[in-house]
Amino acid sequence: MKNEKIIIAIPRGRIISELRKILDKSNYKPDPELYSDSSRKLKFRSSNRNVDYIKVRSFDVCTFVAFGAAQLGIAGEDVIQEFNYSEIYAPLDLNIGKCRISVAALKTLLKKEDPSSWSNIRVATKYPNITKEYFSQKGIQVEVIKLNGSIELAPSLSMCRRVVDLVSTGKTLKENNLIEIEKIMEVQSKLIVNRSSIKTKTKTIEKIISDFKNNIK
Amino acid sequence: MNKYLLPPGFKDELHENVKTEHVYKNKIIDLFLINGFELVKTPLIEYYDNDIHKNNFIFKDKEENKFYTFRDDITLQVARLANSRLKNKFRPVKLCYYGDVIRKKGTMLRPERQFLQVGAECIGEENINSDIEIIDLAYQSLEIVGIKNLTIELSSSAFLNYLTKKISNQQKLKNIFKFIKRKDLTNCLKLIDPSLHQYLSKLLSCSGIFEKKQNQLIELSVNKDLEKISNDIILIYKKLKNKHNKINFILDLTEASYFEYHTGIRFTFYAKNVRGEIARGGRYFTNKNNIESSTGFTCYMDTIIRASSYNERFKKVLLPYSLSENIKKKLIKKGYILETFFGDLKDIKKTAKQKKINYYLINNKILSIN
Repeated sequence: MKNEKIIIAIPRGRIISELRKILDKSNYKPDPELYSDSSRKLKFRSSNRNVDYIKVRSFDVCTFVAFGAAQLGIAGEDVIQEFNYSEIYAPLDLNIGKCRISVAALKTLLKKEDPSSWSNIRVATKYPNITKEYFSQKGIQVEVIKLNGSIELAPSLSMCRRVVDLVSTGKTLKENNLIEIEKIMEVQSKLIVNRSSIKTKTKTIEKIISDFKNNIK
Repeated sequence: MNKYLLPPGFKDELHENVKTEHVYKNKIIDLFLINGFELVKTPLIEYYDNDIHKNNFIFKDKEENKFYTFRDDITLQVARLANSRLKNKFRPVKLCYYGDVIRKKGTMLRPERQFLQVGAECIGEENINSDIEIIDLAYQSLEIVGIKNLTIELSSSAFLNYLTKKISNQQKLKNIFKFIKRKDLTNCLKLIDPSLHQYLSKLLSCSGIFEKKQNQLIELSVNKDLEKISNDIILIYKKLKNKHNKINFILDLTEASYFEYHTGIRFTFYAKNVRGEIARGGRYFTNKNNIESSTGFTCYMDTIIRASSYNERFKKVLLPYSLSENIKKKLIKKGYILETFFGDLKDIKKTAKQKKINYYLINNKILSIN
């Protein structure tokens, strides 16, 4: 691994505590400050001097890796699918962060509707590409309202008929009078790799992948 | 709208960048020419063909009531040329080209929509040695413009086709390709029949350093066609490794897109710490009837300049207008680029500084501005 500096992009948020169980067992154990919510640092060293970590928003992990700013990263399948970068491989399931992307609607609206007659639909989501692809396969043109959060509010405020969002326990949907109608895809976290990096730093990156593999439950 | 604003993906290139592109393009084209490749020039505009033009600007001629398109890939035009104007020429025909191509859409990773494409094609030669010659030529082209730490990936879509021709559902196939391209085995396995699981797992794991994956490649060659292709890939590797020991070779049998026109062995060049592919090429058919097999490679100059380790420094000198032609010729021989100064000689140093020209000439002596 001599002279081959590697950067691994880690997502902020809840997933980091699950990820800790994998990272702390690896040969690239990060500086514990990586797990601190109060730290403003964005770059962290690891127990291996050739490997550093960066902490970025979960939606930005794929972009950092696709541009080669980080050679590896941890990203949810939702983000991988949404950006669909040609420069990213997703070779390893991490068995953490399991949830799903689903379509949901207001309970009260469902009784009055006949979706089979629809030619188009307005949907609030932070996943415009996944949403468009899903509804176009059903032959329905979709008008996406791109939101970055509080998506569950949109139907009750008459912004849209449907939302497409991540569902874990379904509690947030329930508290906002929404019901899960269809599941679009299962989601879990994956180890992602920059395409050019694995071609040119093959030994080093294969070694890191294999280390991650050995630490997954 | 500001009148100086350009459409996304288009830009004005200035000074050093343009000069570097010009010098590198000439070095590569000169290499092709001395290796017996003949230069051709194809038009920027063609009639629109729905089957081949996928990412092209299309426009309509109202008088003729016909659709035209700007070219987005010169390789396809060279194939057309081989099938038409050069159809009676003795094979193989070796052609090279350069020119700007324009794309309708850029991507976040590659927002540019106009770039200079350079390439060489060997048309109508099936011998495996022509593949070796083209890959070697591609390697030499990249080396002469200062690209270091090169990795060549060898591949063929035949192994993937062996698997996917057993799947008839087109939508499913599209999704399978998407997950294979991403090397996402878990999601691929969800979509295909269990009888194909073992082959697919082996196919996806057959990616990495060539020496280590060679035996897996042989294992995947389950019929005579695949056996021939794997033997050819191994032969290409051995011959090129023997000639250029410092090149890293990797194998990847899943690097094929849904609309790929390379039908046989293909190759891609990567360089350490450079984003994306540097150059690519492979074997393809120049006509729709799959009669004439050809091989070639192409690269884009913006990527080449980004990847080059050379820092092209042009020695420029500001000269008095009255300077003799003899001295000018001598300076050109020494590698200087000359710019004429028309003003009062006492201002020549000041002007050189203002114009950021490193040297100026006074009393027949070249002096530095520093």
